[in-house]
Amino acid sequence: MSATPIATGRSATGIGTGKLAVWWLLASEIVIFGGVLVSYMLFRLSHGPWAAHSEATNLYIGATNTVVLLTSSFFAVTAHKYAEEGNGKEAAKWLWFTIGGAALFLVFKSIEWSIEIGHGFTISRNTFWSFYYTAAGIHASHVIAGALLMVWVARSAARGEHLHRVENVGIYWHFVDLVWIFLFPLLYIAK
Amino acid sequence: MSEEHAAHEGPSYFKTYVTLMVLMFLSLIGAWIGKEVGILAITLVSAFGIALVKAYLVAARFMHLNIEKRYIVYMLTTCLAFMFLFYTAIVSDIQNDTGANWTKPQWIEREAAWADGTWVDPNPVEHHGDEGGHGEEAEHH
Repeated sequence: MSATPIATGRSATGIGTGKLAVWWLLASEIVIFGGVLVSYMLFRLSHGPWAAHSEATNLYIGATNTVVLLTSSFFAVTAHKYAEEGNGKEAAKWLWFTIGGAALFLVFKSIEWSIEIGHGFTISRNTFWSFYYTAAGIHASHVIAGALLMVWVARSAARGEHLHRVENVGIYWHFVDLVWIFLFPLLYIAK
Repeated sequence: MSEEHAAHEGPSYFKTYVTLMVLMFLSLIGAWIGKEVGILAITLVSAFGIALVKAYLVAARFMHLNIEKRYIVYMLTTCLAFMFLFYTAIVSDIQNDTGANWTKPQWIEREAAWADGTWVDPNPVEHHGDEGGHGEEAEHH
């Protein structure tokens, strides 16, 4: 009996099944992140003291992490370009650069949270900081998940296998970047 | 070369990346100007207007939604629309301080104190830092 996986070989929808699954995943993520972000906006607009609380977020680290994520997105789309050309080794190399971006983001995030917690801004301090750590924490967990997925995809891409997964994981990574594009002004700029 | 591949090579990825970087720094400069001149609208347009443009560039050029099957875009926008629909049902409860059979006395008291400048943080931090905006607690006027 053949062990060929049928899920990657058929496409009545016009696009690969794996890629469609990623789009469905992101559709559900829109509701998760959208819920958190819109809740934050509603509370921020209706609670004056949140302006004072938000003064304590670290704009420098937030901006640095924005640069890191945008750069890693560029690396991910470059990996996709090489995967389309059938160059698995180059695709894997650029995916590893993307993973490096994810690691750097997490390092900066750890430093930022350490400073904030050290100043007494913990998750239980007030509702603002609960939202802050929840939103940034859910996002950071997606960064970790994306980095682990990219390790898996980069290893197979380096062998020239399953190159379509480079695009799939890239789409997920761009979404993680997209969420940060809105988190950055919400948590760090609009003070 | 496939048609899709050719479409991917339309606008250069690097040019898109540079545009995103420029927009990022413009949002910071705009927010700073808004704060310096005391016009909130400049800060908000710089922060969120530019964020929308950046989000469009990432979605269209990096995620390739501009050349993806149209039903994917409809699928994503439907989820986005439902998310906002759910919030329109509860927004009045969150934004108002009183309703038909309820009130938020602590909120009313706190917002009044905030409005007249007498609000103090009920849970002040013990020590203040100096990096990146930390420690500017409680003083708003």
